[in-house]
Amino acid sequence: MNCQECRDNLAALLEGLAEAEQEGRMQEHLRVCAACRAELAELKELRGRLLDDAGALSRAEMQQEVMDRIMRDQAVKLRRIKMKIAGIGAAAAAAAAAALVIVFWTGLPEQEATAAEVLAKGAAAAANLRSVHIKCRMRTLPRDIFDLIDLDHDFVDVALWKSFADPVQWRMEKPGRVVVMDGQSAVQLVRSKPNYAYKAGPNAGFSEWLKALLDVDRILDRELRSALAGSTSLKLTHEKDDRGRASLLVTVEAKAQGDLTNDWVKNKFIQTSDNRRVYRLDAETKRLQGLKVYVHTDKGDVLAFEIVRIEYDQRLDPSVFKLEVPADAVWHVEPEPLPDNEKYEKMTPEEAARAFLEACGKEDWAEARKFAPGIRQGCYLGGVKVVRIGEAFQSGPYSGWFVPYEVRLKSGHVKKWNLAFKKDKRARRLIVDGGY
Amino acid sequence: MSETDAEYVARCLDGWPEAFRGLVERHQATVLSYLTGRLGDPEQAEEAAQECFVRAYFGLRKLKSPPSFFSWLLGIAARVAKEMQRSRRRDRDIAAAAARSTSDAGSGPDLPLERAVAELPEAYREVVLLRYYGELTCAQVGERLGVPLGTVTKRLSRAYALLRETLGRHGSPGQRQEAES
Repeated sequence: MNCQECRDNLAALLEGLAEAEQEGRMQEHLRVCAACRAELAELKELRGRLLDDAGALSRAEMQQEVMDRIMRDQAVKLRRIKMKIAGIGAAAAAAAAAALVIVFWTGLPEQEATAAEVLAKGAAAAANLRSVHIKCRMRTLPRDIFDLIDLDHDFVDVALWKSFADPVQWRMEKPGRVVVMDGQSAVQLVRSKPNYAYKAGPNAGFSEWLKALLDVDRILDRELRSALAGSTSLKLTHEKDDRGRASLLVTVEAKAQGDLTNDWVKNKFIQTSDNRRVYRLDAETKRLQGLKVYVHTDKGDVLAFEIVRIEYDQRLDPSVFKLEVPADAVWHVEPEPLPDNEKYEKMTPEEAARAFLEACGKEDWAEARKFAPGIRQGCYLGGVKVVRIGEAFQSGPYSGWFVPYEVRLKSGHVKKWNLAFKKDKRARRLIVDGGY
Repeated sequence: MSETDAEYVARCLDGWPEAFRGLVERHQATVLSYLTGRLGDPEQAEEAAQECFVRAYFGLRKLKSPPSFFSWLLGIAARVAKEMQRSRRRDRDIAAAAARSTSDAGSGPDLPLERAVAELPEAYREVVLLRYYGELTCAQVGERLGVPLGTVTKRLSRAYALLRETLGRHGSPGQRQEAES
C-alpha cells in the first residue's frame, strides 16, 4: 500500500468502516510509514475538534423563532392577498391572475392557493348580508347542548336564523332546545319535564361551533386563516348539478384540537375530531350553499353535520326572534360566592365530585346546589351511594376538569360516567358543568 | 430519524407548515456551522440561518427534488451569507465580530474550524457538514447524497487533509485563540 491509498482510507479506519483485509494492509503500512502515522494522529485530533464543535452547535434551538417568523410573515401575506382580491373583483379574466397572485403571496401550492382564493371570495360575498336562515342536520341528541355530536345517533334537524339589521338578532333551534337572542339578551330553553330556562347577555353563545355558522363570512375567513397558518389543508374541486349549475367545493382537512391524551371528548364535538369539511359555494355568486362535515373514525368517515340549505337576505318573520318561556320553566340561577366559600374554593375536582355526590346521597339538595345550582329536589341522584371517585383529567380544549365516578343509584343500577367541573370566576369555586 | 426530508417537504407543501419545524430541528446545527464559517460571527450566523430557513420555507415550491433538500438549503445559505457580507458595513462589524469571537473562543464555536469547513469544495463540505453537524453516520450520508459508502469515506479523508492544510496555514489544532487574533 502506498501513502496516497493509505491516506484516502484514513477516514474509513477512524470510523471503523474499513474492511478487515484493507485494515490489515493499512496497519502494515502505518507501522513502517511515520508520515502517515503522524497524519492519522492529527486527523484523530481534528475529528475530536469537529465533534466538539458540532456538539456545541447541536444545542442550537432556533426552530421556535423560525416558526414564529414564518407564521408572522404568512399573516402579513394574508392581509395583502385580501387587499389584492378586493382590488381584483369578480372579473373572470382576472381570476387566473388572482390565483397566481395568491400562489406568489401565500407560498401555498397552486391547488391550495386557488382554494384559498375561493374562500376569500366566499367571505367577501357574505360580508354585507341582511339575514341568513340555515337549515342543517346533525348527529346529536335532540335535547343536549348544541355543539355536542353523537356519531351513533341519527340526524336531528337544526335551524339557525340571524338578522344583521340593528339590533342584531339570532335564533338556534333543535327539537329539544332553542336559544333566541332578541337584540337585548339571549334566552335558552331546554324542552323537558320540567322545562329549563337560561338567560344571558347578548353575546352569550350557548354554543361556539354551531353559532359561528351564522357569520358565514367569518367562518370562511377563519378557514382561510387556519389554512395559511398551516393547521388545516385545502383542496378545490368543481361540481355541476343536474340542472347544470356549477359549484366550487372547498375541502378542508382539519385535525382535532387540544390535548387528547385522554380522549374523553374526542369525536364528541366537531372541534375535537379529525374531520373533513366540504364547503359548497355557488361558482357564480361565490355564496356558500352548503357544508358537509365528515368525522374520521376507526370505522371510516361518518357524516356528522350538514347544511342542507341557506337562504340569504329573506325577510324573516319577527316572531322568529321571540321566545315564549313556559310558566313552569325552572330558571337557571347563576352561582354566587358562599358565606363559607373558602372551604369550597380549596377543593380539588375530586373532592368537589365526592362532596357533590355525597350531598345527593343524603338528599341534602341545598348542599348539592352549591356545586350544581340547577339540580332539582328529587333528582335521580337522590340517595346515591358513591362507589368510586377516579382521578380528575383534562381532555381537548375544555378548560375544566373531568372526574370519573361510579355510583349505585337507589334503584340498584350502577352508573359510571364523568362529571365535568369548571371553575366559576364569580363564585370562585368549582361548579358542575355537566356529566350527571 | 422518523421522517425523511422529502416527507417533511411534502407535508409542508400539503399545507402543514408545522412540518417545517422538523426540517429546522434536523438541519439547524449544520446550517449554523456553515454560516458561522462563512461569516465569522456566531450572532450574524444565527441571524443568517434563520433568514435561510424562512426563505427556504417560502421557496419550497421551487425545490425540484425534495430528497435534495439539504443541498438546496445550503445553496440558500450561501446566497444569504453573500448578501450579508455585501451589506454589512465591513470595518465596524468585522472589528466587533473579531472582538466577540476572541472573547468567546474558549466555550463557543470553533471559528477557524468552521471557516475552514465553509471553504472546502462543495462535495467535501457536504460530507463533513452532514457527518458531524448533521450527526449522520457515513452510511446515512451516502444515502442522503446518493453515493456509495466508499465514496463518503474517501471524501471525508480528503476533506480532513484539506482542513488540516487550511488550519495549518493559520494555526495548528489546539492553537485556536492564536489563530483567531
